[in-house]
Parts: sequence; structure tokens; C-alpha cells
Amino acid sequence: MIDFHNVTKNYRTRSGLRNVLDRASFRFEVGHNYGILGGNGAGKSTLLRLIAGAEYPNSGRIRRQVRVSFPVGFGGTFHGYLSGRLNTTFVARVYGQDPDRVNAFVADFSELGPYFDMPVQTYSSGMIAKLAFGLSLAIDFDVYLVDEVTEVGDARFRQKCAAVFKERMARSDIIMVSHNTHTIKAYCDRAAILINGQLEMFDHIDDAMRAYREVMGAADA
Amino acid sequence: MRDRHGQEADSTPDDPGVDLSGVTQLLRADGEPPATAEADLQVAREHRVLSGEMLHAGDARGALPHALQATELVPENAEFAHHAGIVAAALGDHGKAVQLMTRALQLEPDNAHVLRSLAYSAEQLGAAAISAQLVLRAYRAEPGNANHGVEAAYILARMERWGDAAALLRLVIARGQADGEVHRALSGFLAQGKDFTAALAEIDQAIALEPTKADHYLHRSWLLNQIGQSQEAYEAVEQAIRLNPDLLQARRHMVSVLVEKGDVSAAMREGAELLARAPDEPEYASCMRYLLDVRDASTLAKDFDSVAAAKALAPPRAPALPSSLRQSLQTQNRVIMALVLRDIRGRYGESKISFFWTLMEPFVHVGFLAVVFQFTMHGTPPLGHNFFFFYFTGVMPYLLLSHLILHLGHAVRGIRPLLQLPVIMPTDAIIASAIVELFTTAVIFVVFSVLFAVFGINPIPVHPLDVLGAFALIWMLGTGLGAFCATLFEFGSLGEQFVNIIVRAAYFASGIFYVPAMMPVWVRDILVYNPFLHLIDLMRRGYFADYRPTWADVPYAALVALFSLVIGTALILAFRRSMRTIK
Repeated sequence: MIDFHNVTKNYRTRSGLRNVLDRASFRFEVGHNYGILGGNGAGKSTLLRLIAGAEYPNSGRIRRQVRVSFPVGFGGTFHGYLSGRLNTTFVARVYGQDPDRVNAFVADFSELGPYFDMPVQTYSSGMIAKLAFGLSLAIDFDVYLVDEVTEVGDARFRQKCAAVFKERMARSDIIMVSHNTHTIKAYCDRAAILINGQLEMFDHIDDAMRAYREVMGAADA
Repeated sequence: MRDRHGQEADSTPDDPGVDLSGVTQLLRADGEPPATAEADLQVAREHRVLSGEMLHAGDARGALPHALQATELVPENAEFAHHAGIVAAALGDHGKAVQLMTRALQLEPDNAHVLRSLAYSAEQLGAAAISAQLVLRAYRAEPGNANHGVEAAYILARMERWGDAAALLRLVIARGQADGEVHRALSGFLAQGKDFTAALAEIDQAIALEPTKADHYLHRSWLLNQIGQSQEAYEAVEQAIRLNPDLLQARRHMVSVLVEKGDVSAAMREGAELLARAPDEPEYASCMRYLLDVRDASTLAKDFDSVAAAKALAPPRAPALPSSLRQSLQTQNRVIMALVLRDIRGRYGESKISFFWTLMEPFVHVGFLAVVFQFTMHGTPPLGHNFFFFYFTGVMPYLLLSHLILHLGHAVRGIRPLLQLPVIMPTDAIIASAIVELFTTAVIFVVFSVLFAVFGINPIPVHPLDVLGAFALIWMLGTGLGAFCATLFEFGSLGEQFVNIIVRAAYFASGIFYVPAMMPVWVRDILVYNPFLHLIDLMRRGYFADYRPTWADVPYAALVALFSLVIGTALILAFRRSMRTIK
């Protein structure tokens, strides 16, 4: 369970102070996948970092009784001089997981072949993304945070990601932000809309879609 | 621009090549007798007619002097002023146009034509609110001309005042002046104001009036799609395409409706049709890519239905308990060790050459000092018997201190992306860097000692505890200062430049290549405020049995080291939250 109590969060942009949350209280319950909808610039990514604990609220309290992941596919931890293997070893150590198990999973999942033992700076951006996805999925979390399922690799690789997520679902949950309602529909059973500094929760995804349509207009296709 | 002099089109219509200034002079000369007001009016009229002809012929530039002449001769004539304004506006000089037409308006406040021309120029100048007011006044002056009302509504709509624009169109409709286009426009404004039901009623009116216009059906379909009635939306857009098969916007909208309906394969057929008709349109290509994604997602969605069911049946999970102090310490320990290994591997692991350089730096440094001073000091170092060994005892502490200050200063910035992992704290980065620096110094220290032993110089200190204590205190001092710098460097590069200067100055003020005894007493009295000087002396006391620095005050240096460590740690802890923010 992740519990937000009276949380206010502002962040600075080039055009001044932006308000993401304004004394907002809500809770993500265990056993549900949440999709968070919101327009561009509503602060979806900032909200995700708040949930992760990578950023702090200006005021209010956030309580986590679960192990929350970093945003899935985040490759910012990679050290260019180090091989893919040493980089995944590092993150495995940081999260107190067996580096051998994590490395075996990533080697199999990311399909990098001999590149797994080459410095990350020799990778193409697609390879880095695959490594990052593999690493995120290799580590055991109770809640995986997904920011806008990025286009990683080909359709087959995406199917593979989905398959791993599916297999995880019985013991882990997903919190996903996106402005693509179809992606949310595909992964989530509950939804929320981030608007005007509040996160409005919906128990049924169709209700959220209807409300979102009212504020945003129809889907972007 | 309207032209009210079309009736004179039989006299020289369009020949802008003809020089008309001669005619002007002729006209001037012609009005020979007295230059009365009547005569002025006559001449002004001629100018006005001429200007009208030229404007009509497309020569606005040639028309302007005549128009101005006319209005200058008879300033009280509103029509002349208005015409001059129209010519100025046609030339794009809206400032001038506003000036002229304002005069016309003063003369005839209710002239709808003037109001409209002025409104046009005002909007071109960015004064949309004033423009709307002027057009509204024109509508009041000529309530029978619906065009004024519609134009005012469009201006309001361009200002995104949807409610006002809609209210105005409702007035036009109430006066019975509306055609299908007005209902269509009202429907659009209402939809912008999110009142889809009312918008739908209006578009139905428009369709009733103009049942064969494809655009009306397209708009109706868009509205229905917005409120989730995708079947009706589908029928409406189908009708639009039937009426006008070349309306690509309708086909594009058809794709959206089909996606909304859930018929992705039909949407893809329609998308392919669009691409076939307009292969160069990037938006249609990205639409197709989007459709491919949607297809992926919808196949996934079917899989996930079963997942949700499995989830509902799964036994409740035990919540992860908040970690105890012991667990947090274990976590921190783990993180620091991981960071240390990552740092060492990143620095030396993959390229042997960088480790070689790390070794070479102090070696070259000590070697250079030793060779230079061997000659200037005539063979005897200030302490001991070997120049290399003497400078080694000064350079090693300096390298440890300066590396700690500068590397720790950059440590937080260097691992900023890692701070996106909440388990990693800025303090961990500082501690890990401090450990790596200590480790590096220790390795270099051992290499040097072995080399000295090989060349017959005894590297074993006489008071090992003094040497160890000196290193420990330098490490404390450097870590504290480095942590302080890590915070300081968050606030821009000015602090960084300042620290660089201080670190360089410390090289000269700490007795690295001399002993303070060599300095005049008054200089030494200043130098003793430098805590690092005492620590180097402590180190040398450990190596040279006969060295007795009377000025050395180790407790003072220890106190400063402890103080800097406390301040540095406190600063890092105070700013640990803002350090995570991505800049």
C-alpha cells in the first residue's frame, strides 16, 4: 500500500512554478494495477518520482509499505565505461539482490549476446533500452512504476516485456502513467486522473476513461 | 476591400504603368479660378476617384498619395478618410489605417463600413478585444446584417471566449438571420466550451438547413465521438464520406472513430487508404504507427483480463514492514560498498592506463620537486637525507586532501542520475568517494614505500602512530571540506572557481616543499592558522626522529577537522532532498 496524506508538490519550470499536487490525499492498494492519466505537463512523471521516493513532497507525508521500483526502463544509472554486466551487478547490489541471478536474467532477457560484457558506451540506444528494461524486470519489486511504455525494440521485444509483466502480476503490481488510454486499458484494472493538483481515483477503468474524455476530449487517434 | 467606384470602370481600368502625376498637376492647374472650399472638394473628389481606380487596379502604393491628398484637402469628409484608411490597410500599414479611420469614425460614429474596416486593422494590430467591440457596434448600427454578428463571434472565438461567441451567435439565430454555417459555427464554439449536447443540437439544425454538406456530418461525428457514442459517430462520418469521398479529414476522423469503436483492423484499412491517397502526409504516417501500437495493446488487453482475475484470487500479500534502524544501516552499508566498487571499476577497472596515471601523478610531482630543489639547496633536504623522501612526506598528504576536496565536491553531481534510485542517498555518494580516495592513497603509499625500500631508503616511520594519525585527521578534514564543497557546488560554478584557488594556495601555505622553520617568524605566525600545516608536521614528526616543530598544535588541527566533518555532514543532510531534483 502506498499512502499519500495531504501532499503538496511544486516544481520549477522555465515558465515558473508548477503545482502537481495540492494537499492531495489518496492511496494505491495492493493487488491492483493503476493507470494514471493526465494531460501533457500535468506532472505525471513528477508524481511517479514522488511515488518512487526519488523526489520529496514540499509538504505532507507519503508512506510506502511495499518495495517500489525505479521507473521501469530507467537507464540513467549506467556507467559508460562499465560493461552491461557490471552495471546490472551494481544495481542488484544496491537493492540487496543476488547479482548472479539478476545477471542471468538480464543476459537472457535483453538479448545483448557478447555485448553484455562490453562497456555500455559502445551500445546503441536500442541496446541501452533493452538492458534497462531487462534490469528493471530482473529485480524483485512489489510495485513496478512504468512511465509511458516507451517504444523499445520491435513488436516481439514488447511482447516479451508484456509476457514478463504478466507472469509477475500475481505477486506484483503496476503503477503506470500515460496519456495513451489504450496502453492503460491493456495493463491496468484501476485508473486515476491527475488534474488541478488532485489525483482522482476510479475503481473502474471505464469510469476513468469517461471522465478523462470529458476533460481532455477524445483519444488522440 | 470593397470598392464603391466600380461604376466608373469604363475610364482607364488597369494600367498601373501610366504615370498619373501629370494628370494630377493638370487637375490642379485646371481648378484655376479661386481656391474656394467648393474647388477643394472638387479636386479632392478627383483624387478620391483616381485613388479608387488605382486601388481597384491593384496599385495600392500608387493609390495612397491620392487618397491622402483627398482627405487632407477635405478632412471633414468621412468617406475620404475611410478610403485612405482602406488603402493604408491594403498596404499593411495598420497603424496609419487606424489613425485615418478613427477620424472617419468621429465624423460618422454609426457607419458600419468604417467600424468593420477599423475592426479589421485593430485585430491585425493585436487589439482583438477592441476589434470585437467595433464589430459589435457595427451589428448594432445595422442589426439586419447578420454578417457583423457572425464576424464578431469569430473574433471572440479567436480570443477563446467561447461562451461570448456562442451567446452572440444565438442572438443572430434568434433574429432569424441564421443559415447552416451559423449553426455549424455555434456548434463548434459550444463544443470548445465542452457543452457537447447543445453543440449536437446546433449541428442537427445546420444539417436540416444544408443536408448535403459533408463538413456538417464530419463535425457531428466528431461530437458524437467525444461523448462516446461511437456507433452514431461512425454513421455520421460514413455519410460525410459518401457526400464527399475526397474529404481526407473525414477519412482521418473515420480512423479515430473506428479505434474508439474497438475495430482496429477496420481502422488500419482506413489508415492504409489515407496513406495511399496522401503518401507524403507525415500525420497519416504517425497515425498508422499509432494504430500498430493500439493493435499490440489490444491483443495484450485480452491477456490481461485473465491476469486481473488471477490477481483477485491470489492470497493477500504480507505488507513489507518499515525497516528497522539495523536494516537501514545494512542497506546503507550495501549501497556504499556497491558505489565504492562501481567507482573503482569505473576509474581503473576497464582501462589500465588511468590507474597508471593515478600512480604517475604523485611520482612525477615528487620527482620534479626533488630534482629542482636538489640543485637550489646544495644537496641537503630540510629534513632527513633524501629529497625524494622529504617531498614524498609533503606531497602525499596534499594529494589526499586536494583529491578529497575536489572529488567529493563533484561526487553528488557525478552520481545525480543514480539518485533516481531512492535507496541511494547523497551521503552515500560522499562516503563512497571518501573511501575510494583513501584506498587510492593507500595503494600509492604502499607502492612508494616499496620503491624507497628497493632504493635503500628506509620507509618505515619512527612513530607509526603519528603517521597514521596524520592520515586519519587529513581524511577527516578533507571529507568534511569535500562534503561542504558538494553542497557549495550545487549553487553554481562561482564556488567551484573559488575552491580551486584555495586548494592551489594551500599548496604554498602548508609547508609541503619546505618546513615552517625556514620561514620568518611573522610569516609562521600567520601560517599556523592553517590546520593542514600542523597535520603535515605531525606526519613528518612520525618519519623524522629529530624533527621537533615547536609551533605544531595537533589538537587545534584535530578540532578543525572534526568541526569541518560535522558542518559538511550537516550540510549534505540539510540539502539531501533538493540534491535529488534533476536540474
